[in-house]
Amino acid sequence: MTTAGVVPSGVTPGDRAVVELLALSGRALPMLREWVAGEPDCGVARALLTLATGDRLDDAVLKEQLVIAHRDARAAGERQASLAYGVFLHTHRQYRLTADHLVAHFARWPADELAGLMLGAFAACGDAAYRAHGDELVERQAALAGPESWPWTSWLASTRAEQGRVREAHELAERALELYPRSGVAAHALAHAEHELGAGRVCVEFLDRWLAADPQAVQLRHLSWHAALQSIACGDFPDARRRADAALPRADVGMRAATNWRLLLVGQTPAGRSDPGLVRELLAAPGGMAEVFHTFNLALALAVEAATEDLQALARRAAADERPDYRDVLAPVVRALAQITAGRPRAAADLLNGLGEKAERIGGVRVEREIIQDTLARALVDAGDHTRAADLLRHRTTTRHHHTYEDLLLTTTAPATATGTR
Amino acid sequence: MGVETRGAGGAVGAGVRAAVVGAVAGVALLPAGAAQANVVGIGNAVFGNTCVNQGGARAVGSTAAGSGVVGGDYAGLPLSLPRNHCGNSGIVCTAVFMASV
Repeated sequence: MTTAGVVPSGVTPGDRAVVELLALSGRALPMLREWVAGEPDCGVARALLTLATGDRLDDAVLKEQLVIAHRDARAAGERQASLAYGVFLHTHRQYRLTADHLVAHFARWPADELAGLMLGAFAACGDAAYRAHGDELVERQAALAGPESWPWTSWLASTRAEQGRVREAHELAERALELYPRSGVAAHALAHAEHELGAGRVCVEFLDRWLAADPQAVQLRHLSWHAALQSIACGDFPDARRRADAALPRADVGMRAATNWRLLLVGQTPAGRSDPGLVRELLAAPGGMAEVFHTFNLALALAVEAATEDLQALARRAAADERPDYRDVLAPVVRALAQITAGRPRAAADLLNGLGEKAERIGGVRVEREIIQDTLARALVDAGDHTRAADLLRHRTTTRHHHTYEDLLLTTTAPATATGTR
Repeated sequence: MGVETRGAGGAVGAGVRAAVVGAVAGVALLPAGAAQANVVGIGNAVFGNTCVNQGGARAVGSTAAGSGVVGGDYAGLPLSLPRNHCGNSGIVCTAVFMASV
């Protein structure tokens, strides 16, 4: 294992497991398990396996595993102990603490690739300042690691994509894939950049080839979803439905809803839907509204079902929530969805127009938040305000090579969103 | 450093806070702001697996432990620290790994 630079292509089971984990490969978990079985006293091995599987462990088992991992890691050295400590914080979803810890960790062990696995903590804080700090940290560590480090080049590509620096992100992702073609983070960053570029079939073919080489890839479902979005961008709606139905289980409410709502917005038949009962169960479960973006996804699923009353009830709950992101952003968005499913596009447009840049606080990433803009465009067109809708989407229709979806959003259609075309 | 809480408006107990402050030395980052996610790692929204602090947890305290030691090297784990809930839109937080089990 290295703390910086290129990860060796695998001398020991530990080295191989680290490479697979950094690449988010389908072999990551089996190899982590093999590593732990072969070196049960390796604290880092146990910590990384726990990082990858922690959400399926109950609290007691999680703590037990990390106590063992941290004890063994301390015996191995300070860096190892610090990694295990970070994993403890991350798996307990204490993202601010994790981010704070990573800042100190990277100061002492620059460009540590294993610590890089926890970089998502900066964004998961739900705090713009932390996110910005995380972006800066990735930039610094990538510079320290150098251009030959495929993990850091991949992470920097992802950061650039989310910053909207699309062409830079694309170049970095391609560079990372040249260095290590199985980098899942780079493949994902490339998908984000190509979404912004409207790459269409080119991106779909890349993703198909990439996933075919590792059908167990960690990001299989998510990259399939990206491919479905590219099919929507091209206007190939049957392909988008086929991909959603093939790759996304019914229980995968978020990505299914995000696909189907887009299809409905342009008057197309949706792919298979999620069970509305499951959506209601998820909302009612403990922690069901713990995170704003998940709650938004559940609202989209309700919108796909034209469940206006459920949406109105959810909007009332969000409006009464003490958390500003729920009260000030989620509530009007959900209320707008209810207005659309009730056939009142003008009211929906007014609600979404009033949000402005606050819509970013709905969480997720650019590609995911874009659906709010899509919804506003549809509402404006249906309310007869085509000019404003066209202005809203101009940056997409003028920069994306494939933008059939945007063209259709700007076309008056019979409202498909309130129909029950199951 | 931001100390997170479990539950809306809840507070981590004093013992927990003390354990965290004592164990983790980091720079204090700015509190409060917009909810966002990026695409860099585990626990990542673009994998459909965003997990943010349950109850919209926010920093409720800010401190600088100032030991100069990277957290966790010499101290035990803050075992009384709670595990926050995460949102669930049909897939759980590290569903990112479930496909490869």
